[in-house]
Amino acid sequence: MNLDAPETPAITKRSESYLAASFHKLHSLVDRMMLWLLAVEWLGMIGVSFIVSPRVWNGTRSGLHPHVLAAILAGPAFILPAIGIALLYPARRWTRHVIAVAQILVSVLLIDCTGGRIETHFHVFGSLAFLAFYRDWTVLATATVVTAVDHIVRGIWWPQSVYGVMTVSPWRWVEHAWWVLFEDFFLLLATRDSIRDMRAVALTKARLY
Amino acid sequence: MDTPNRLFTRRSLAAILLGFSGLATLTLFLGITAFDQAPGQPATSPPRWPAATKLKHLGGEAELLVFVHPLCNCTNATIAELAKFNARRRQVKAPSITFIVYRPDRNSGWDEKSFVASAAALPNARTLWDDGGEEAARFGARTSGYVLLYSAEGDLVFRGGITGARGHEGDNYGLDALVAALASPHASGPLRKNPVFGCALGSWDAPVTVNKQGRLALAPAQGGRLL
Repeated sequence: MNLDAPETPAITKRSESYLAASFHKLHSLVDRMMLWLLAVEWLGMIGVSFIVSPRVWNGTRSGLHPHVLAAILAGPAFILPAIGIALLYPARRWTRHVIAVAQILVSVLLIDCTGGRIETHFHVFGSLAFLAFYRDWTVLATATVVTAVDHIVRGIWWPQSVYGVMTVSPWRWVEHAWWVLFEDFFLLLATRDSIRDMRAVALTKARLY
Repeated sequence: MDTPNRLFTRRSLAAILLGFSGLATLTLFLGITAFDQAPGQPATSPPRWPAATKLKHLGGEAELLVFVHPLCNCTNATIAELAKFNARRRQVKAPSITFIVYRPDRNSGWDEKSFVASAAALPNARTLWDDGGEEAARFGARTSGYVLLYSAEGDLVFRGGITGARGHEGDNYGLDALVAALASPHASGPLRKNPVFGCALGSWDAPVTVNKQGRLALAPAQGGRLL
């Protein structure tokens, strides 16, 4: 078998088919990974809320702190639905977007529950890295847009909940979005290289078989 | 066209699931934001250092009183802001800081669980336990994180919270106002104030008022007791 042979329509077709199968396998795998990640994050978020703010007090009386309640309700609100979609429709394009939105919402809720701590914003960057495993630039675009919209909306009405300060420039969100785009740029470079490798492997396989 | 038994296909189930999810998520975030941004009940404090208090006015320097609930997590944010306050006051002489820590009684067992240690670590700070919230009532404090700044002459120059939301650290108008009040602590100036974000110190549902003698009283519904 000559691996340097020119591409014929048949080889190209087989190559595309192998590439599609590789993507399907990859997306199924990442869907499962994200499904577990969301479940673990949900439990982690409940744990963090219990540690940071377990109860709200009124004199001698106390009740479950709303942050704990919010962490618990995040499950039925957006984590479990995303997991459900991943189970119902694995490896679908829109499944990836639903998961991306849920993943960023976890970051948003964590930021709020920890008092807008700047350190919690690192969760957004970790989330983008995980979502880059899909090797789909549109997923990163969705995650970036959700992050930017959250920062714009809360930056206008409740800046303390997202930036930790009450007095911010109306353009502060641009700075945050810029750093997200900064990471996106390198993740997209890595994604492009990975897809090129996948194409090469698919083409080689098409020539061999 | 869908027949009745084909209405609940996987696709329609997914659409229902996402619709529910969107509404639930929006409600969740609006609810948590409303809680974070809800200030404690409005409070009124004596414009002069009250005579009835057991706290001795040291005199000669401004005094900062911080009323806290020891189990309220928002207290951490107030302590963090006070640390920044110390850094921001620059050349102005540091006020003495007194944390008046609410507890129901001496046997409540709250001593070990509280934030008192980190509060006491602030320079020029001391902590006092306020059994039954008597001092809080005398000074009109109703919410954890309520800060009062009395000038060296005993005039109230600032009252309110120094965080921008419940448990949220960070620059806020309350801290700015406190720094400004310390820089020019004259009774003739405007009383600087800010809403307080934190847990309730007591279970008072009616407003506290100041009578003609400048003493605080709970509203009649609460017994009308003079404090």
